[in-house]
Amino acid sequence: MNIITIPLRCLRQKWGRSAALLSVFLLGVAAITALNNVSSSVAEGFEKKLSAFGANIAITPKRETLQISYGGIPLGNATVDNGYIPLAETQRAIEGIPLRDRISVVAPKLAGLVAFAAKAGETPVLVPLVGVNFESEVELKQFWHAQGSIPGVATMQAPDPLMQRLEGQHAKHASQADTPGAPAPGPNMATTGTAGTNMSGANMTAPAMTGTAVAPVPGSSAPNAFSSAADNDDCCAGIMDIPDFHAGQPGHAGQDFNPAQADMGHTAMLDAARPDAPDGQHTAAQHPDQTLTPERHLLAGATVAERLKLGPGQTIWLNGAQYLVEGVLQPTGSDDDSVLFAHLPEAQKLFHAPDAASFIEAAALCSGCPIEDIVNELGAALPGQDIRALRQVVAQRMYSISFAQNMALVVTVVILFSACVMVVMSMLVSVNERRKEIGLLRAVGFSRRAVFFIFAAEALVIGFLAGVAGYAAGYAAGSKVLVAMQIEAAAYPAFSFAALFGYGLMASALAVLAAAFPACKAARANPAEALTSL
Amino acid sequence: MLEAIDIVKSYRAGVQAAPVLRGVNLRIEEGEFVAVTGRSGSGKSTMLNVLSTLTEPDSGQVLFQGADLAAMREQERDRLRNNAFAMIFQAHHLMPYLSVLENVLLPGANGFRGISAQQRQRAVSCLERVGLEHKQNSLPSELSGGEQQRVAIARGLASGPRMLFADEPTGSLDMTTGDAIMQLLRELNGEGLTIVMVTHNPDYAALAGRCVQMREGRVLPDGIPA
Repeated sequence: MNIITIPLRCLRQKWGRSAALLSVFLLGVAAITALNNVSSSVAEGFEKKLSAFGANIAITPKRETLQISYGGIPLGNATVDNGYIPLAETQRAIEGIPLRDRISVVAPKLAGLVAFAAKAGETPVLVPLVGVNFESEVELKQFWHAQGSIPGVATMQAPDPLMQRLEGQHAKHASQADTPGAPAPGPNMATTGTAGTNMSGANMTAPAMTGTAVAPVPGSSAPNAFSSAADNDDCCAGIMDIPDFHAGQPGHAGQDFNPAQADMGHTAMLDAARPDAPDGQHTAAQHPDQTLTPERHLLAGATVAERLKLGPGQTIWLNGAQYLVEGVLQPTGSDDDSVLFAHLPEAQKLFHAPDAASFIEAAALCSGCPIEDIVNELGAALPGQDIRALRQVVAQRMYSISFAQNMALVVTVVILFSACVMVVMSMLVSVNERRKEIGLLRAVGFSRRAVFFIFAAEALVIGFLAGVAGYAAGYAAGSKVLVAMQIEAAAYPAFSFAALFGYGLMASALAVLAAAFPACKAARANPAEALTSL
Repeated sequence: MLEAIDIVKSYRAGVQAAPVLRGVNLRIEEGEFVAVTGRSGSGKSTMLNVLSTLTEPDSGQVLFQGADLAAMREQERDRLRNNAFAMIFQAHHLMPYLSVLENVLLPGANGFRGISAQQRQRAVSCLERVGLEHKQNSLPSELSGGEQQRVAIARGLASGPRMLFADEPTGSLDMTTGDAIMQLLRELNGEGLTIVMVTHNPDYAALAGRCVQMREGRVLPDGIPA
């Protein structure tokens, strides 16, 4: 027997009061645990969902801008960059950073211009094309909806009857297709000798693009560049004529893209899709090349599809090779409307840039760590690249998430305050009820400190039991709440004995704090007055 | 052994101070059995509380073996109540959730160090002394009033005190039980324990070695009726 025996015996003897106080505190801790776990899970899930609406980190090749002048006369600026991003090496580096688990999506892109023709022999025009990994892109841009389907992620889209019919046509015409050795229709864009395309106004981009008329624009935000082009040319979003290319074909010199021709091709394709279409009406566009493997499937932005009269199932020619438009994006209001999307490896072939990316977008989950930490780690792993955090995006996301978390915090504080008030009230009642006990303890030589300890220890035991049991109950309740709310429980925190103990300690400390005033009151009591009190 | 010199003590009644002790002078020698009598409100219990350090006087001195209790630090007074002084009350004042033995051991449980085997043995001896060794595991609620008072006496004896202060120890007991308690107190005094007892009962007061009468906050000189 020692001083600890007294509060323990008292709690056991007055089990009704102890149970009531324990229940109040337990409910408070359970509510806080459940709220905390649910809010963190919801925030995590919320952030994952938000990350589907755009990237918040951009990785681009390092660029330097040089002022060029001669004789004191400024000739403009030259932008020198490191060319492309080496994709495999960069992806390995990203995989290796400690905060890799906070990056949910990595979406590399290779952007450039390709010569487009609706059918073989037609005068080509330049259109912007972006090579992407469609799976990553769809994960990053869940607002994408396509007429037809998105290449590589067809399972996410409803099967398109037209595509199904075309698949049938593919099979039907496979035996009738041109032999693989036959000359490819369309022009050879790799030999035009046109200077590198400048997508940034007065700046002269100087990557390894020499001798290539149609090439990617490394180191630039390609979609923005395309939209700039689109802004400059109201009639054709991102579509440019190729004067040099047309020089050898006078009849087409200076001509822009002819929608009527594209429309003809589209109509012919639709005719070809009809089983009863007469064979005599089949054109080159109606006979997909047998090499139109899934890698040759494209996705067209809404604006570019409208300008070029493209529709799902239509075949087109890019740099002289035949491709199938598998889907057309519904308008997004973004740069995506103005470009064609191809599989990244196919774009690398088109642009003669194997293992290259113009830039990489990444979606980082910022609730677990600041975006700066991820950017710093990426910067250390990728010294040759520029890593930029799109802070506005991050700030907006974090605001949304922190709003939910702040709400949870407010409720937590209210619950804690209520529980503490209950402890204070209960202990005050207990002190008043036990004034004679206090007087007796003082009479037999217990110090004020010892009396304070006895009351504080009662609160401590109640608090610890409530903390431990409350954590366990709250943990179980939280997971049930997530199920009831139909929220993915993947982010629900794992049960932790450290947290169990931590909650116990926290609740004990809080209970002792709440009991401090009543315990002080007990300790200050005059023993003679306490003994004679009613 | 214990000397009260010109003790004054008042209690606040609203804005006014109500004087209870108006200059008490009393000397108690070692081994004495002193009965304090007087009418209700004469200041008997207040004087006992002042002598036992439960209450501090407004003025005056209480000397215990020559040491001024008012000049002591509070911890020293606590220690004095724990070791040298024992108190029993009319209302017994046992901890309801501790067993009889634990109640007797209570003064020794004033810290984190557990009760020693020697302390436990002494407590059991004290219970034997008051005839309640067979009830050491009972709760106070399972005892009669007389038994509870005997447990309170055993608790007082367990720490081996020099003085026992008893505030109307027979006040709530029937005559037979009261007689038994008085007999026990006399035996303890016979063994050398100094006792100061407040009582209304003149028969019990007569059993004490010396009777001190109080009136209106003062100790009356010997021979003057209260």
